[in-house]
Amino acid sequence: MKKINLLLLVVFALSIFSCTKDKGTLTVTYQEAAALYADMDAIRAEPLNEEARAIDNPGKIYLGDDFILIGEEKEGIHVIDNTDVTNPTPSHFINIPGNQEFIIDGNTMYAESYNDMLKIDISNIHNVELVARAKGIFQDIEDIKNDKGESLVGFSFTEVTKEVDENSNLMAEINDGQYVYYDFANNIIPKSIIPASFSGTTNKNGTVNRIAYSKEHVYLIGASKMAIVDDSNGDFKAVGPNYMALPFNMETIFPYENKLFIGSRSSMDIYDISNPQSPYHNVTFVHATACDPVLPDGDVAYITLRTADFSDCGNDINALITLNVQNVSNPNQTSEIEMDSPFGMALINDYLYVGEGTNGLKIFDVSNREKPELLSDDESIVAYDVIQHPTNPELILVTGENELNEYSVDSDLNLSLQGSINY
Amino acid sequence: MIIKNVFKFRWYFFILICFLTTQSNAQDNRPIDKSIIYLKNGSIYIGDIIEEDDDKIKMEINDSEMTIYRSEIKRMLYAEDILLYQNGKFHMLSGFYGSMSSSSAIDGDGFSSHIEMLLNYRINDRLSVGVNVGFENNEVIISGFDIDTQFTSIGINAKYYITNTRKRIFLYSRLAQGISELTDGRDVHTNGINIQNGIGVTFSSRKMSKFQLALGFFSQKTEGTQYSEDVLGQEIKIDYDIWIARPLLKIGFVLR
Repeated sequence: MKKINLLLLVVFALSIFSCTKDKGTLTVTYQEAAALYADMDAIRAEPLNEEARAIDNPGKIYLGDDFILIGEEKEGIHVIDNTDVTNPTPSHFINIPGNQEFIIDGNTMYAESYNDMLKIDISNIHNVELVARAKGIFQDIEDIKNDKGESLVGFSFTEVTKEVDENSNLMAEINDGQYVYYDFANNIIPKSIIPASFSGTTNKNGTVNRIAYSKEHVYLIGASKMAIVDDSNGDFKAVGPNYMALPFNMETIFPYENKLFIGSRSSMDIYDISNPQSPYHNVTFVHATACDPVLPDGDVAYITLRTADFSDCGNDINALITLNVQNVSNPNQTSEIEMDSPFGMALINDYLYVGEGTNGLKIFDVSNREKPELLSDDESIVAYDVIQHPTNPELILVTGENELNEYSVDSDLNLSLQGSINY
Repeated sequence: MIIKNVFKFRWYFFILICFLTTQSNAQDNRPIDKSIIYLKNGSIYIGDIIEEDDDKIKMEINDSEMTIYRSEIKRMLYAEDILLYQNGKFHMLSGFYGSMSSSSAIDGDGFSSHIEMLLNYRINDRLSVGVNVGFENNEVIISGFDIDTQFTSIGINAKYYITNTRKRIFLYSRLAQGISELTDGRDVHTNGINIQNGIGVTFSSRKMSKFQLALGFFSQKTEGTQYSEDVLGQEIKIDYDIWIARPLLKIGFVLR
């Protein structure tokens, strides 16, 4: 018996040596960030108005009475003459280096330029004028310079695929390496948010915004911070301290009355801006992790949750959710409608338009604001975001894969293509 | 290298040594060749069955004979079907038995949580074979990346007792197919073979259920893709082809 036990001990020991550590190969694909530097004085001296140029990398979109603004990622804004909706024509280009976010309030445009916020008079859209510049709205990156004295202006991201060495700690290296570059560009441009480049525009149009204007203040959200620029007394400068911390992964901001609705991948946060320089956190409504534009209207807020299509968001949910936010400290979900791949929304009178990406455009009857009812589903249209005309409720702008399409909507909700802008 | 590993895993050896050295040669550790009769009134008789027919059984207990009518008997365990000890505790030696156990990783970078059920048949007094089903969650951490896997496993197993003492030591081996529970969505992994070998001890008892403790070594093959994020919220895609391998501590019981 003792011999058997001894033999077992040997066999058992060999078993231990061969079976106690996870083994295999890991191939990791991630975004490696490289800092970009530039002479900010030279950038700030560049002229605003330039000749029209081709649309290469479209970003934000704004639909005006007789013009369309299309952001060119990191470079500026294309101005499209839309006097004839059947033939929108490039007019000229507003040169704003580093721009991703802009918003229109009347005849004023607020636009970021790297770490600055610009206030631009657009009363003559064909010859805009810089009114004021708030410098260093995310102050903490202002002092980061290279050996030539140039300032950090952003990052270039390179997709890297690497086989993991088991004895390394690549996850820590990825995080530590990018933590050096934390803030600025990443606050403003989380690369994982695809609809940001097909996004909505103003307070009234579209639902995917990182910038908002309310109560004479501009709010710009990053991944985890929000800059506030005061435009109430003519100084036009960032409210100190220069930014306020937000929960991580904030994607979209929407002002409504005395509130800011800020959507993240896993929640919708409501901030009270009775004091516009000091937003007060009212409540967090937690939902499944997904990409989620928010559209508030009166006592309700519509949220689209999306994980389908080419979304980078996790989980498995695609839905249009309606919340009653009459009691902002206790939002109450009143409906959840299954969707295919919802992106941006627009509310025009009693109709809620929801872009479903390549799965079409849905229109809901929201005469009962808390219980949307599907009226039409046009799968022939590629619709990432829907933007209403500021004065004409029968005209909408729909962002597609590589074009913007203007549709007229008749009383039976039939859509007729009027004109397109390709890029 | 081997010396290093021996020291690294010395506490496993401590457990193993405990298994082996606690088997004494004391009188009460040796099985006795007797049968057990359980009566409906709760009485239990241990002795030699010297005669039986359709109505009654004669049992010799401490040199005296006793006649027991079958109508009074709740259950009988014949000497050839059990390993019985002086204190009345026993192990079963024949027939089918079921087993349930729960196990957790006791070393390695990630946790494991397994639940296993098996149904086995005793081929002889030492060897049993059968089928098993399990639900297994395994977390793998390689180079700081955290990978979660979920399997339902279905397979076959064999168990061999190497002692006949009250704490009965056994070796076991299990071969199964891990069926992935993560097949939809973005985080997915494949099915894969899994193997588990180990050593354990079944504790004798006066009841039909026996407590069981084992130290097993588990390996699971799988390939898959998982997404995570860095601190800036940027996506990290992880493609993996791995063997999950770790020691497990199993706690459970045997029914019959």
